Parts: sequence; structure tokens; C-alpha cells
Amino acid sequence: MRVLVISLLRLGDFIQILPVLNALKMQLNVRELDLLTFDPVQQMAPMVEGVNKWWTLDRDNLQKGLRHADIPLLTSFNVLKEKLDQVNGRNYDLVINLTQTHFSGWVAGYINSPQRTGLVIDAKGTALFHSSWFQYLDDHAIPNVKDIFNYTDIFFYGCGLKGSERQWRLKETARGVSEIAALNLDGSENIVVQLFTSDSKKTWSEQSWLSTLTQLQLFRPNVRFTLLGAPNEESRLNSLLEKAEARGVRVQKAILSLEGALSLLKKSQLLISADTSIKHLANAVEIPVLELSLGSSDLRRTGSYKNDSLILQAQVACAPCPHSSPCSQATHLCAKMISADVVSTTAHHFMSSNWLAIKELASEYSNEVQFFRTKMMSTGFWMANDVIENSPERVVETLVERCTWKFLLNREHLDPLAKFGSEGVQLRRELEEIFPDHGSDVFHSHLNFLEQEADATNQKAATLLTTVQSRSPAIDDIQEFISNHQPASSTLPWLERLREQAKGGVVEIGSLRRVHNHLEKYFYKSQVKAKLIRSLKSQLTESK
Amino acid sequence: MIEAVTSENGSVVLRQNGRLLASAVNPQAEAAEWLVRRAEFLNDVKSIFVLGAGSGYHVAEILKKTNASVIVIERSSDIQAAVSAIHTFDSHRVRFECIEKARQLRASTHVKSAIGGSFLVMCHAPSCASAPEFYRECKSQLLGRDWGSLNWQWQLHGYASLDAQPKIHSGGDALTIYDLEQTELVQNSDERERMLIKALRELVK
Repeated sequence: MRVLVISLLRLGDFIQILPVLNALKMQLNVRELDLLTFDPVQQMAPMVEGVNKWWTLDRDNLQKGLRHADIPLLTSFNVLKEKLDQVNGRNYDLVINLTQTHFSGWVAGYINSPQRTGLVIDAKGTALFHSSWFQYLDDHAIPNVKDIFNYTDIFFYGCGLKGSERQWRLKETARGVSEIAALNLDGSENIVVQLFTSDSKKTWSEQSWLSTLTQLQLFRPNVRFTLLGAPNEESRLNSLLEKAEARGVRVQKAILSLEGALSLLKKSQLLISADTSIKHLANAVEIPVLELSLGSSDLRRTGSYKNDSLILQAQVACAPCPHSSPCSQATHLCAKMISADVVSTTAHHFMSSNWLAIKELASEYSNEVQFFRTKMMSTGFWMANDVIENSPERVVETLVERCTWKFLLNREHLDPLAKFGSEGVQLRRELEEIFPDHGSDVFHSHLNFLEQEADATNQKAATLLTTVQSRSPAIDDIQEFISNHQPASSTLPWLERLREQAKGGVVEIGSLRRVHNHLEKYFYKSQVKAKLIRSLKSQLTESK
Repeated sequence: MIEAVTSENGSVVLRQNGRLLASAVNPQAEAAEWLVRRAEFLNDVKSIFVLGAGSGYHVAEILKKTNASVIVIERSSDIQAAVSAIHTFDSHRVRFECIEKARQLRASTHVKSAIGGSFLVMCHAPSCASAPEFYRECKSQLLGRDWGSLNWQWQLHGYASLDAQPKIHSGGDALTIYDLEQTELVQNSDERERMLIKALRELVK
């Protein structure tokens, strides 16, 4: 099978899909795997194995061609068409779009293939997702959704892949090794600091970094800092380097390619970074990551995807903010709330794997900062858990909800031998690990409540489905139901259309179907949830 | 009157009616600098239209830096002959279109063929200064940023003609992707090309 994977966003977004690329080769019968990315992403090519052909689009040029009146109006069109016609010449058996953007949807629609996964917009302008996971991603696109899977998990399962293993395999290159040869990495405590991000909202201030490095050196006298930057960041980096050296901080700069950055991470003991592609690159090596989640960085979607990373996020109502809008605060509040004291002390304890001290710190600063510890759950998805989470109810609710979605979106519930029992075992183990000191009683009472809630949802959905099937939908009740369960649902506008149609006496079958499908999803979801809860309850009872 | 003069680095450059058509110091370096400022799409397009043959050094530079075919639009056949005396261009890659009026471009088989694919337009400023109106009209035909030339170019791709006039264009300004997006073809047809226009539109949102 010849497969084209489309990833038309930034570098970090591409790195996040590496486990998908690795698993596609192993799990599906993929003979040739090609990629279509924007130009800058191709700098990853020497490190990514198993790619047959790497197509690229030059987004900057395409945009310039559209904006500059001295470039023919049709040049961007012609260049894009010629490139995609070449892509089409490869006759792909499967096209997978791992970018949920309109641009990529239209591009995926233009490329011929008998089989597709991910967002495709067809010639009529209809958006098709080809997997419940991509529809889920669309339904959960708004920043402040209650909970959402990490993008890596969504794309992994969206491609029909199975299992809890995620392989972040990247090859270290001779170029990378030679780039770091001149650096002093002999000490036992090399900390890599990624100062800059692509977005000012995600960037911590120079003063905060300076104070952190100074304080952390006091805690750890043998430490050496390496300030990592890309060639275009060198002048900004030099400024901080000079100031740090003036304070007596043992610091060096490393202006490296991505290959060099990977080699550096391999040789170092800690990475401190905001939401950057370097943070994602660190998933391919064993280095622990201390992440500062600022601005539009949504740790649930893009947090450091490995076990036992630590993510700090300010306790501000606006976090995470929308990606494309400017900061809504008078000052960069989310960055200011995370003080250098917190970061330096946390890094110190983190390097010593002193989780008890980190918990104490998290309690002390709980009004300003939330501390999340990351975990690859045996239930098959990544999560970031509050290190001082003291509400078993909240955790059990989140875990059950996630497992329910996973079952539903993977359509596992349709299997007559669906493994609800195994899932219950996994869930129980996860809960015991997160709350080793809690007995099962505390979970039981909340699970009873959740079970009743799921049963009630199931009954309500069944009733509302009946009204749709009889072509006299109870629109107000349906609207209330959907708004309660999914406030930003894309079905709500269809409901309004249905209301207008009902006034005219004729309802369109398309609108009815859309509403029907939504209700049906919640009908099955509540069923799955109830079964999972019962399985978990049974496991908890047995383990008493 | 066209004269050949020797520049400081020994290269021959042309002077037309007293105006130099390339640097009298180092025409190759001047051409290299000229091209660096026009880097967009250089390695992506199939053809490059050059308005004005100048002394030919900028054409030579394009040939060196790209794989594109070059169509040189020149009004003076004397200039063309003089440039051909200085440079021996690969005839498979360089074609001179010696025309007196811009509208003659539409009759040229080579021009039409090039416009059916991806192309750029580059102006050689000293040449364009020698006949500003002529080159302005040529440029306008090739840029496709007015409705007439855009329609002409669009049909050369083998597509149905666009609407009679743009829906949102306010006149005066150059047409943009927004105008193209508002055409019937993009709004209400199932043509595959509309998908590309829609995709590009997303890039400038």
C-alpha cells in the first residue's frame, strides 16, 4: 500500500505525529510512506526514517504570490496545482490528513485516492472526516473544552492504529553530533534551556529566565546551562548570555540545527522549555522535561508527551487563550504568575526526582501555579495530572469519560466481545496508582452517581431519538440536551435550521439525520459509559 | 542609437540613446543582485517573462540560478540582435518575443504556452524606462491583475471563462484572490480547480 500523510502546520505539530508514522509502518501494510509538509518541516528529514518521498509546499511564497501585486495573480495557483498534480502522479492508495485546517482539507480533497482518513473537503465544499476521532477533534476545537485527548492520541487512533505504545523514534545524525562537539557537556548536570518560542504569548521574560538560572545554580553548584536557539535567534540569545555571564552563571550558547538539538538533548539531564518544537523533539530521547505552559499553549492537547514530565501552568482564568488573538490582559499575566522562584526550586527537586518536595511546592504555590505530572496511561492515552489532585471524584470522572470516548470513537463497543472487563482492570490500576492511600469506597459512591447520570442520559437520548425518527423532533428539548452535553456542538446550527423548516411544515432529511446522528452518539456513549462504570465497580469490589 | 561599450571588468554592455542598459562596472554582479531581490518562486515556476533584454546579463543570471524557460519581451530588434551578439543563450530555454504593441503578446504561441503553466514576470528597469508605456501594458497583460487579462489567462488553462466582471473589485486596484474566489466558478461549480482557489484563500485569511 502506498500512503501519503499530510501535515501542513508547524514543526511542532509534525513532530507530534511521529508515533503515528512509526505505527503506520508497523501496523498497516504500508509499503511506501510519503509525506506532504510545508518547507521548514523538511529539516526533520535526516532524522525521520522510513519516508519514501517528502513533498513540500512553500507557504511563505504561496502567500507572497497572493499578496504582492507584482507577482501574477495565478502564480500561486499554478505552482500549487503543478505540485499537487505531481503528488497525484504517485497514485496513492490511502491519503491521511493529520492537519485539521481548511487549507489542508482542500488540498487533501484535490489529491486523488480511493481511501482517505482525516479532514477532506470535496469539490462541493463538504467536509468529511472519515473517522469519528477527527469529527471529535472538530467538535472539541474551541480552547476551553472541559477535557480533550492529546493530539498525538487523536491522530493515532484516528488512523485506526491500536495499542498504548507510542514510538518517538528519531535518528541521531553525524551532523548533529558534530554540531555539539564544541560544547562543554562533560559535567553530570547539563540543563538545556529553550528560551524562545514562535509566539510572544508563550515566551517567558528574559528577567525571569535570568533569575531562574541564577537561583538554580545556587541550588545545584555543579550545574551548567546550555541556552539553545536557532540561527535566527542568536542576537536575542547573546543578550541574555552576556547578562547571565555577568551574574556568574555557568552558561554557554548553542546555536544548532534540529539535528544538533536532538544530539544536545541526548547528552543532557534536563530540558526547561515553553511550548516549542524542541519540547516535542525531547520525546524521542530520555531527557526529563520541565515545561512552562504559557499563553495559548494548551497542555492537554500538546503537553510534553512522555512519562513523568512536569508542566507548570499559571492559575489564570484566561489560560489557555485563543491561538490567534492577542493577550487579553493588561500585562502578560500567565507568565508573571509563574515566578523564577517556583521554576528554579521545581527544577531543583525535579532533577532529584523528589516528587514529595514537588507536591509540597505545588501546595505552597497553589494559588498561583498548577503543577501537572504527565503519564502514559495503560488505558492507552496520555494524561497530565495535577500533582496535588485531592479530588478522587474528579479523577475518576475524567478517566471514565476518556475511556468512554476511546471505546466509542474506536467503535470497540460494537464488538460482541468488547473488552469492558479488561478496561475496568486498567482503570482500577490507574486509580490505585494515582491515589495509593485511598480505599475503594470513595470511588464507589461517585461511580454510583455517574452510573445513574449515564443511565438518565441514555433514557433521555432514547426518548429524543424517537421524536426525530417520527419526524417531529422535540427541538427545544434536543437543544437543551445538546447544549448541556456539548455547548459548542456543530449540530446546534442544524437544529436552528430544523426549527425554521418545522415552521414551514417541511423538514429536510439532511438536517434530521444530522441531529439524529448526534443524539445517537450520546445514546451509545451513555451506554458505553454505564458498562465501563459497572466494570470498574466490579473490579474495585473484587480488589477489596 | 545602440552602442557596445566595455565595462570596468571587461564585459561588453549596451548603451541605448546614451542610457546604459547594464552596469558599466560589473554587469554580472549587478544582475546577481537584481535576481536576489526577486527570489519568490524562482525555483518553482516553469517560465519567467523578462521585460526588456537590457544587455542580457540578467537573463544569463536567471538561466544560471533556475531551470525555468525565459521569454524575453523586447521592443527593439536592434537590442535583441546586440544582446545575441554578446551572449549565446540556449535556444531551448530562451526565446525573444520582439513586439511593438503589448496586445501582440496574446497572439504569440510561446507566450500562450507559458501562461498555461506557472510563470513569473520580471522587469529590467533600464529597459522599461526606455519605453515605459509599452512595458507597463505588457506587464499588465502578464500579471493578470485586471479582469480582461485574468480571463484571458484563465481560459488559456483550458477552463471555462470567468464571470463578465468581478463581484467585489472596486476598480483601480489590482485584482486579488478574493475576486477570484467570488467568481461563479469557485462559488457554484464542482470544478476541481475551485478546491485550489479555496485552499489558497485560506492562506490569506
